[in-house]
Amino acid sequence: MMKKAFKWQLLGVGLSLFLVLFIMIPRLSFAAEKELVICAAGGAFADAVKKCFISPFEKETGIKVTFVSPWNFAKLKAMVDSKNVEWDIMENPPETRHRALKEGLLEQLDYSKIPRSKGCIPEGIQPYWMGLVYYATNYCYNTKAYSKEHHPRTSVDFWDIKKFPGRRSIRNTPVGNLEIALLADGVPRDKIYPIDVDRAFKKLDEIKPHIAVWWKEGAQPAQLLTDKEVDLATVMNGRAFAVYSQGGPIGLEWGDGFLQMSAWSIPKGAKNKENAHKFLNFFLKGDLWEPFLRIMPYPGPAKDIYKYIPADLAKEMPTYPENYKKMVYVNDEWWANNIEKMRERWDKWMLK
Amino acid sequence: MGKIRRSLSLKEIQTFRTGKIMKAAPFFKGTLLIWPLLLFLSVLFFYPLLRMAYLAFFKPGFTLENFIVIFQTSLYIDVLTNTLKISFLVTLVCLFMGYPLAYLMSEVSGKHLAWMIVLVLVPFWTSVLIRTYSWMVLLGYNGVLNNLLIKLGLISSPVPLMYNKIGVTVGMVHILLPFMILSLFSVMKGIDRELLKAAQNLGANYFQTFRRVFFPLSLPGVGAGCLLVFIMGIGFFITPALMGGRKDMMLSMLIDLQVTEFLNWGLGSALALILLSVIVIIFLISSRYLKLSQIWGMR
Repeated sequence: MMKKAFKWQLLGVGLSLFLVLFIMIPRLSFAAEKELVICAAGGAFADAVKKCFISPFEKETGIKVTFVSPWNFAKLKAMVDSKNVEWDIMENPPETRHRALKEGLLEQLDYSKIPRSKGCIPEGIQPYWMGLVYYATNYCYNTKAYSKEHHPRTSVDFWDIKKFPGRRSIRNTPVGNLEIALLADGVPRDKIYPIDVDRAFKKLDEIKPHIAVWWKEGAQPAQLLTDKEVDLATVMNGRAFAVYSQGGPIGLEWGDGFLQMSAWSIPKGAKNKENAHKFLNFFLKGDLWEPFLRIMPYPGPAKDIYKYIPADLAKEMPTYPENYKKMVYVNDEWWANNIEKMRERWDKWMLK
Repeated sequence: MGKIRRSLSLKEIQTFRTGKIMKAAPFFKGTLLIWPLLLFLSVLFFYPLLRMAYLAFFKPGFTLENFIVIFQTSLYIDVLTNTLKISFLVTLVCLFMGYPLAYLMSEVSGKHLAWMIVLVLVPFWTSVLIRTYSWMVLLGYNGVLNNLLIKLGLISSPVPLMYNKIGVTVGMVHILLPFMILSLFSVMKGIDRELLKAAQNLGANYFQTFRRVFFPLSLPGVGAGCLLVFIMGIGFFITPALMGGRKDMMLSMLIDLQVTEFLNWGLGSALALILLSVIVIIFLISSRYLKLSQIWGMR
């Protein structure tokens, strides 16, 4: 009796071990032969990048590209530390890239392999990262509450509750919000840095009770405006564009917005650095940008983008001179040095 | 039938119902089927937990720096208190909503019971994110509920039901209620209805029967349910992030910030360990008052 039961138990153990291995082994061999792995944000952005850059790249060079998302800072550190880097190119957002550099998580880019980088805007061609897209966060309004003729056009307007009443939404982060608070307090655009933090928080105290929703994800504020959950909000220009270009009830104002640049980087220890540099060079080809910009108005550092797009589309770009001069460029170096203290102060301030 | 209970040696087991004493299977052979599970848990659960403790206490030399920072920065203490408060509120709401429903479920049987179980479990199986977004549509300033109340003339302008304590509580209760109901139900089902009849025979009215017979017997279920809901509540992340206001910050959001944005894994691990210790302390305190074996269904 006991022996028979024992045989079954052994079979059970064997079967469960087999199943575990069966599930694990294919995953282990996943990292084997990949020609180029790109990691960036997903959603509509990913679809646009795949259609406008990755597919043409694959056709021209024959290199098979695997696209994964989303990008995650902690995952990057874990991969580099354990010397098991799955990505060859990754999105490197402004909030964390100086920290990534300090932690030794980035490869230095070899611009001799990226000949198209000559003549591009210098802030997009940096030793450890190359510009991906410029994106702006702007004051937007629900078109039923406000109109093209009458809406907040500056930070001062946005802070003016009497002249521009309505529920508001801004992002739950100090980045960008300290800057627009200073603009609302009358600080000229070129004197924002270094940021007078106490002054910024004092100004933010004025608007705090009128913020109905503190958004966290990029998709939120456009949705909040469309649903008329709020009447005014700061929204990333591409998200707003996606709504109003389809006839949705959002209007965008370029004045007193703030501009940031996301970048491509190569993680330290990436396996396919050659192919990565080839892609980066391909990315700077000016004529590829028109279809991308029609979906995502986030221009990249390629130098002749404006040659290839019609005038009406050019006006929707944050780097279009008319728009660019009305905005503040967020200084990511200042933020790299101050983000942790600011984040802590911001969270404490939120709780009061 | 008299059962002689004597103390057993390690090589013997005694069956519950009949009291027969038998020779136990040898340790290794008897536990063989558990070993893959233990291996699995050790590698994927206990080892990462130890790693986390290592990250919190070693930098790389042994240091209490992370914990000192946590206790000196008012932010973390405030958020921890907030987390416990919100979770406590959610537990109470779940208890008051779940108790009558569980009682009803323990009384009915057959088709009615099957339907009720389905209705309790179906939201349980729906994705948390989808449920949260649905609440946004229902409770928003310009949402279904507010528009309905305005059309009915009950209110003149929309009531803020989202992005505040109400939103967080509704969202979390919706997700945690099935746990409370099932815990209460499993205990209530086992309460002998004859005892209630006996009490009424002796002259007690409904209220007295409930207060002195039924309620005390249901307390293990209440304890188990509250414990479960509270512990799950303090770990919540998505619902308070999406449905709460600026003051409804929970500790898990700060842990996420430290781990993913600041790469401060030492501090994040320390915060997580503190949360874990709170859970362990609560668990130890409750095990004094609750017969935990009742929770696991062993009687």
